[in-house]
Amino acid sequence: MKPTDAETPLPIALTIPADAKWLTVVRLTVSGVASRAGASYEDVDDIKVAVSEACTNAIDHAFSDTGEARPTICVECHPLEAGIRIEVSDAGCGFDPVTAGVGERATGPDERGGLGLYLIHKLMHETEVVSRPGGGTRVIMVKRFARD
Amino acid sequence: MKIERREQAGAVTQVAASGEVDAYTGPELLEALTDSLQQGEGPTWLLVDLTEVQYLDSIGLGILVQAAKEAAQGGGAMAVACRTPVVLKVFDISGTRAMLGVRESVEEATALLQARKGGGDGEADGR
Repeated sequence: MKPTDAETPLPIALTIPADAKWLTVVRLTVSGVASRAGASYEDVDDIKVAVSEACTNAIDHAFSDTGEARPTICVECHPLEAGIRIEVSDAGCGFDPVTAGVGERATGPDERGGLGLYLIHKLMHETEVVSRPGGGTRVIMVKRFARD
Repeated sequence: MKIERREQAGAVTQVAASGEVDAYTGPELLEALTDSLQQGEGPTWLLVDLTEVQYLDSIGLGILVQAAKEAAQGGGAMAVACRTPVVLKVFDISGTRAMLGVRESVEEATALLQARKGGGDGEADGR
């Protein structure tokens, strides 16, 4: 028996320059991977918005003070048995999630952390932001697919 | 993204966008809405047609909210025509659907603007 996509051992990864003009490529890629992993149209839409928001945050904030000549953002898609885990990471300036007030909770669009993070929390089943000053940022998102 | 601007009957200014609104294309939409809000004198009645927009994120949402606020501050109003599920979901999650005057067709959005011009709040349908 051929292995299912859920057993794919390696993530599907995409690295883009930290430039908003590549956001549409990220959306196309994660849409394709999520669809192949079994996501419904609605789940694909949710994933597309969440991942794009995570990339937008990285573009806007990660490299403003680093002087990095060729900043990049990495998007890794890990198909799960009935869902997908997507990680968006950068090697930018990072921040302290506790003092920045983003932590695990963004309970309203006006909170610190911004509307983008608020949307991510609402659209995905699990969201974790791992970051430290000078150490880059990783946003880990999980979407579980509804079964008929 | 493509953007078209046109005058509608009844002094309503229409801005129609198509494609995707994100951090890359958002500045184009911002410019079109800002131009529309600044043209002429008196209140602006602004209809934003997003029926051909397939994607809009927090950047686009921020631009729309700002434009709606500016239209209201000038004594006018803004309404949005949109029927793309993922965009409507972004409006719903952010709680901005009523504030932006979102309707699912240009005709309904125009009717909302005309009602507001006439002094009604256009929200009698409870949306």
